Amino acid sequence: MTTTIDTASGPATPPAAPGGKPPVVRRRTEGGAVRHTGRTKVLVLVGLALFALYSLAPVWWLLVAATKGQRDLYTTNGLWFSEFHLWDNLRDLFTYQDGIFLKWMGNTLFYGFAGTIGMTVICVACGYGLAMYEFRGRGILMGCIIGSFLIPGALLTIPSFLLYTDLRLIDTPWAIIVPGFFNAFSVYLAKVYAEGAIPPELLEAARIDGAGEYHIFFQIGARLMSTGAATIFLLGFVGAWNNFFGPLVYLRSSEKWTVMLGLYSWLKVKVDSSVDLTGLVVVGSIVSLIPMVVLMISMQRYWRSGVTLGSLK
Amino acid sequence: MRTHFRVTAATALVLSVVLAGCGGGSESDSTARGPVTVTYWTWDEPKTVQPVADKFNATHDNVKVKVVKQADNPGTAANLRNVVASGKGVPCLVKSFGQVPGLVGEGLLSDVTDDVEPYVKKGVFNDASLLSAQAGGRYYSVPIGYQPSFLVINRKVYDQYGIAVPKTWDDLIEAGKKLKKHGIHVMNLAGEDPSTLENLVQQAGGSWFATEGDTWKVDFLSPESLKAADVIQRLVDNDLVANQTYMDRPALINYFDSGRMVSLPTQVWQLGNYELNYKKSLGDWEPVDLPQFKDAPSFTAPAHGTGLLVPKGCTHPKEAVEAAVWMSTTKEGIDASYQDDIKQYNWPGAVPDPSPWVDSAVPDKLFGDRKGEAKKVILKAVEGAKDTWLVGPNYTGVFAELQDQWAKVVTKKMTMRQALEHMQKFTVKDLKSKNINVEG
Repeated sequence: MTTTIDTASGPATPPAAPGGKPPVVRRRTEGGAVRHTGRTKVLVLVGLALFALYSLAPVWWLLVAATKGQRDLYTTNGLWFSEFHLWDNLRDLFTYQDGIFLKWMGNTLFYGFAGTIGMTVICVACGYGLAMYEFRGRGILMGCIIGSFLIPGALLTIPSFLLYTDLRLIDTPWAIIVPGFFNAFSVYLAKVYAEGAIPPELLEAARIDGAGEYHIFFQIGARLMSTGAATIFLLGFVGAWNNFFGPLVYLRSSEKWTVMLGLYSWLKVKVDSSVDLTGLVVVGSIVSLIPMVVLMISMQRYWRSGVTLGSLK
Repeated sequence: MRTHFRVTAATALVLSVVLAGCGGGSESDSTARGPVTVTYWTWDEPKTVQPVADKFNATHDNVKVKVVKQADNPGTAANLRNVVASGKGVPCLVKSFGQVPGLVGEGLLSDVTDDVEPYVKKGVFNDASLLSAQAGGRYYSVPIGYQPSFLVINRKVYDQYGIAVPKTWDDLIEAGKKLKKHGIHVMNLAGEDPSTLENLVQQAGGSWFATEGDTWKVDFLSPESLKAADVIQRLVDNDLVANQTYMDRPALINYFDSGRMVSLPTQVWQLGNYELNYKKSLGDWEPVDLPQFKDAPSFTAPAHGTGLLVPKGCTHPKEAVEAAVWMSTTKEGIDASYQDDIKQYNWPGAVPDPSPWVDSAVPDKLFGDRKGEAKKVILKAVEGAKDTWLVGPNYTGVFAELQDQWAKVVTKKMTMRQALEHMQKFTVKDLKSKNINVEG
């Protein structure tokens, strides 16, 4: 995220006044471009090719492996096809244990949407409040939010478990959805975005015109923040989709599991029993990717802005 | 600022209403009359467990078994610790994820001796299945028995080089020396799995732990233990074994299938996997009796099994024991475990006579025309089964340490004896640090 800034203001750049910066950058790029064209290009291309290979090879393996029968899976070359069993594998996947895989997919979508929509509303409101209102303790509050990034989630397992037990949330979908509502990083993103997207003068004008604070938030603030909200939603949904630890600890019956937890249990079952479901895990992994891919492609505009959001401040 | 607080308060209110709303319901029927529900946690696939529970429920009016699938072994362990700590919704039967004495030491289990003993007296269990369900002579779990151990060898390769089937561990080592000349390993010792050593100690009739009153006696250097160590040491010193890990399943299967590793101590439950995954070597394998120590007085196969745990906080231990005993020892219960797709029953490890179910445990193609030999081999392993293996209350930590030492032994960084000497010191020190009386 910070690489652009680093290269632009490398050691040669003096900590000059704002006016002096752009020419320095331009001169460096021009000089470099003229002198190193060939070698640099090759190096960059080779580097990129290696990275592409590194990230695509596992996906290729997954695609190939999904078409194999159980026996070929272990005994043939992992990167090339053998007998084609994809349709059988898919049929097995969707019929295994009365189609529990579809149930897991449905659960994951439900938990993901419910949790993330709630999270987006709460965090956008929270960020808006932190960015737009002056009140005593705002700095401390912001400090707490940023400080909470530092607490590893695993540390909170036992306290959360006991709390949810008291609230009787254990083994209900709420144990996954409700904790998903609160996300410190999203609040931070929302605050940063609100500061950039909402001019305080606009709120001032609205107040002079007699609009109430709720009215201003829903009619003006929230609308100006819609791009940021979409980003927060997308990031949150990816997190919720891959959420593993929560379902592992808080959900008991496999009918309530998420797809990641279900696949994991299938992968593990062979360790000490004669059942081996690795084939189903492979093809299940591909199917479980589809909603993510669809979401990513349809919302890639927000995704890209999400990666850089917050890096400017 | 006021608005901010109002929003917060409103949100809090809404949430608390929502939470309270979904909190009610379901669990309140535990005190009501009617059938008692025994919740049973296991990470086995439901298709292997649910039919047995269904059969139990269909034949019993007062007790019902509810199977709850867990993700895996460590997940079950973590969940059980959590639930015992909270004291609410504790299951009454849990598939064992460790050794009973260690779990008792952690305070996770209930003493169900009074409920189990009547069944023991009735003779529903075989003798070798009892010890592993106990700690300090009391039952904290219901015995479900052990898996018979035997050897499968790649007979085609043995025959190709004219090597006789090993009857003793010495024979096996001799066979290994001959096979080595052809670049073939006689056995596999995975760096992370010292169970071969444990099994050899058991076969020699030894145990690393013993109790006397309230004192634990630790002896890693007993004659039995050293006898087992000697076999391992000779296998390692002569470079007769491979060190293929169990963690990489495809590589392992490939290697076993390749014919470059030719003898495999195994148990009944593994056979289905070999059948399913081997390609080249299907039909080449032969089941044979587990090699013995040269001076063994009688045929012995290690048989340390396990039990179904009854956790602390279980509200219906008596019914839990009743259900567990029914599921693992009655003909009806075992028959209900039949799997159409793999044509197998769950191995009935606790019953005195498993012979009616042996045939189904043997797959069709793995042994080719030697399939018929399997029944005799398996039943001999059941007959020769003796469980002398007692584990201490800190065995979880001891086993982890043993794994480290074992890895050094099989990679020739230290000798088996040095490792055992280290284990002796480590174990005694660890028990002392936990304020447990120990001698050794």
